[in-house]
Amino acid sequence: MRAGYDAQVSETAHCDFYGLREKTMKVLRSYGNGIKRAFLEPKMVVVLWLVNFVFASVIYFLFSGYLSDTIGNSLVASNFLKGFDFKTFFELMAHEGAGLHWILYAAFILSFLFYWVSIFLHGGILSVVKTRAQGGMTEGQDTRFAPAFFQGAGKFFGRFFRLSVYSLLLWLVFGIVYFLLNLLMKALTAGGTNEPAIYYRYWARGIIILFLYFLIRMIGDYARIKVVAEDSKAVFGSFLFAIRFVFRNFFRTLILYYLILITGLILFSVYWFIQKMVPTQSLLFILLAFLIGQVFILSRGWLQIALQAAQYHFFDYKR
Amino acid sequence: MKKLALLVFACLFLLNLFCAAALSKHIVDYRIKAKLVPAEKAVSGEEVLTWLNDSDVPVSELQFHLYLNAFKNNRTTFKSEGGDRSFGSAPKSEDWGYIDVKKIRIKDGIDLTLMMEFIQPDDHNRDDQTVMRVLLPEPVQPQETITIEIEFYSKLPADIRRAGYYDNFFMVTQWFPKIGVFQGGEWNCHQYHSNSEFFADFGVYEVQMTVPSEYVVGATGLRRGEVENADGTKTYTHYQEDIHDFAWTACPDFTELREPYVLSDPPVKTEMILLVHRTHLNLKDRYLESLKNGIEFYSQNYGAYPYETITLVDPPIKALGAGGMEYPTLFTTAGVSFIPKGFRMPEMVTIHEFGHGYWYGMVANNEFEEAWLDEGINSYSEIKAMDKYYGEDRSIIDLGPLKISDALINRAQVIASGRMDPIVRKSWGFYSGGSYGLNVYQKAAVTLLTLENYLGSDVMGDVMKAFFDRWKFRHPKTDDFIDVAEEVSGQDLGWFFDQFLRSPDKLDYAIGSLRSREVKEPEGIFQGQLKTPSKDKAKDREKIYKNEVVVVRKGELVFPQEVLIVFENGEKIREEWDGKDRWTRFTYYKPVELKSAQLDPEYKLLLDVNHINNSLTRKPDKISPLKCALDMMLKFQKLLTVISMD
Repeated sequence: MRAGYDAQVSETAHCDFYGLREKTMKVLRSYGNGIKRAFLEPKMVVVLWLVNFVFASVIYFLFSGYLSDTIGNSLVASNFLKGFDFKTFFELMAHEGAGLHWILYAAFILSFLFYWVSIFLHGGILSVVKTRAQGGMTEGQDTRFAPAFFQGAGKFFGRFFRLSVYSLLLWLVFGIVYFLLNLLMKALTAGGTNEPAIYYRYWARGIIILFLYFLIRMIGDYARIKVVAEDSKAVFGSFLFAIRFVFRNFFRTLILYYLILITGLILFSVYWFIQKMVPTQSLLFILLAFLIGQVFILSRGWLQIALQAAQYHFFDYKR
Repeated sequence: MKKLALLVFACLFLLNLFCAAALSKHIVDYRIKAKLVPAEKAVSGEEVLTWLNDSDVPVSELQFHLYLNAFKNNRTTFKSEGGDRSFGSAPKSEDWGYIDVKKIRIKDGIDLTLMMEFIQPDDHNRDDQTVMRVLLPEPVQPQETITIEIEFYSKLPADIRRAGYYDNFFMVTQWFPKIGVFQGGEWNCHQYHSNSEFFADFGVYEVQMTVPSEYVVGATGLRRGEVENADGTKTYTHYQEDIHDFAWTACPDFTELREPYVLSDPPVKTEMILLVHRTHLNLKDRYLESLKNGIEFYSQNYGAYPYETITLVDPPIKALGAGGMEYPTLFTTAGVSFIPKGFRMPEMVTIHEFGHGYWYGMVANNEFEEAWLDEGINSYSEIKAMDKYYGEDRSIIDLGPLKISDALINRAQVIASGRMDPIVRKSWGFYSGGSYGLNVYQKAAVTLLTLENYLGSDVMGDVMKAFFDRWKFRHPKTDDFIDVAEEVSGQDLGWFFDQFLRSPDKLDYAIGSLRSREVKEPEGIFQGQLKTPSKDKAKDREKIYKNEVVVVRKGELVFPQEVLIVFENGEKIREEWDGKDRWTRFTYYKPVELKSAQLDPEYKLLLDVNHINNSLTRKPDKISPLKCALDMMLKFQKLLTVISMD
């Protein structure tokens, strides 16, 4: 009797362990697939970089014009060559701050426009990922990159736009959750003289905000994947589905998301170390540093594709 | 006869000894017994004041500061000037602060309680009761003293600003009826204002403070006694001569740390007493180090610290309204436990407030009327000390690539601000609290840094030392500082001080233009003869350029200028200009063209509000703006990648 029971327990444990390992492997497989897919789509990486470059170059021209107009003929301009110079920065802010405000307004408008363009691009990314996932076997589907990307981008823009509006609901809900958690933390750290508690509260607050922020983005990702994967026009339904999907596969979706984030952090660290080594006091090195920066921006585009492809793969497997 | 001569000699010797021992003329002598009643958030006290009429006229009334009445209602002068920090919700009765003079009488004599009257010499605000006048039955004759006995009850405010309480922390400052200064034949006893509060005569203070025995007490002066009472309280007695105020604090959450401080040159021997709140114990080493730096810097640069103790009080986070304040031999600093080491706010506040022991504590100007003499001079001294101990380019912030100096922060505020007031003005007469702070602290400090650059560090050091030496334990005015500066430097500095202390205008010089034009050969009719340029010679002729540099004065204030002019072949010419006209032009005929011109090449004129226009080049640096613009573009690209991930 005892031996049979032990055997049963052992078998159950073995099954649980096997199941857990299998689930983990699936997540890792999705992660690997995403990375691989990103490597196989250099054109898409270039498109993402190019759009980013075009938007950002507006800021380059504005800022360069501003500097020429304000400190271009002054010897203080060279103070910026060694690094960020607060002395000159304070002077600029005090005397030419209005010009900087205009650049900030322009940056805000550009960011806003870029957000909508990025929604457009999302459709392209997922369409290409879907086409490649299906091996381009769907009847009548053009598997070449450009048609797949731009047709998909155009096709899903309206639906993704609606999804963005629906995601405002999530922001609202998470705003309330954050508020309640914050109230709880305040109550726990009541008594103004308890400084360590106040200190940890700030940290906890930051972590909660980041966690909720990534969670909402993840839900948005899966909603878009559902729309593209099933060519669904039920946008709100896809939105609700994505919420259910994420919470049902909470840890696995989270692990996958954070694996990509960690990959991004590693890429950033590599970039940071390399760019720290480049002295930027001559034209050649300034251009070299800028080129290294562009490689980093390319890597961010690559990472974005990897994230979408990995999540698509995971969604496909769970579907 | 011999005996009589010896007796006279002995008396004179003792008198001389006595006079030598006292650092200041003792106009006041306070003996106070105070009891802290934590449940009532109040202090009840009995005060015996002996006051010397040091003037040459009889005095028929006394005037007292009743500072705590500034917290009595929302219409006091202090509150209406900006000191009204709301209590959050509706104030409760225990939130208000006040001082109730229960009884006042001449010692062993006439009761003066009915002779008390509130007056408002500054603004006639009837809701303000921060100055009290008491008519005397008989005038106090010149060089006579009068002894007054006062019973009072001081309720501390919850809205802690300088004085007040939070939870079990009590900051007991400006808490007792304090006599004004009789000066120039009249009382100088201003109401309690939002911006300033200090002016009093030197003298002797002996204060007994009774508190529940678990409370840790810090106070002005030397502790002379500590007695356990039968009712669970403890009485501390502190004594100090040559001071003009007395402050104390009590809180059971203080940790008291004591460490002796000894300096050989100049000789200083004192005890550092740190009362660190339990939540800030990790800051104790930072406080201690900066206090040591402060004592060393001020002793070596101005004069030896003369008192036997210096007490640093570290208030809890919710009572930071009491932080950053100075009192004789005691000051409050400000810090929070998690402040990074590279952000040197605790160090800066500690050095600044300790420094007030010199500029306010010993050199005791009238802060109501000329606050720059303590706040401005002390801010200047603080910048110098911070530079010395923490690095000139990073004295305030040293966090990775972010490095900012104390001087830079001060200058940044000066150049970014409106110019509504001069530095010298009565503290309540400024356009706003911000304008007061800007002028009295930052602009005054930057003015003195500019003066130092003009006179040279050594001369400026001598000026400061002489000013301290001459005016310690006295009440100097702005003109006294100017007199010392002129005497020590041997220069007429009236033009400097008249402009920078008494005018709100700005100093701004600029390079107006640079021009290099080739000088043509003579062509036309000269003395009746026609001259034409020779074509053959023109090729061989060395080109001559007319190089012109125009310097303009854009601001109203005048300051002598130095101009560094650089030519394309690297030749440099240094010019001087008195800066009085609106513009001037420097012209040079040379075989090379101009490259650049720069005003104030050594960056001496920190008061010049715009350093961008101080230089001009004919060949702009293209690389630096390119680098900045590419950096900015890359930053924006990174931002866009975050947006695109959404």
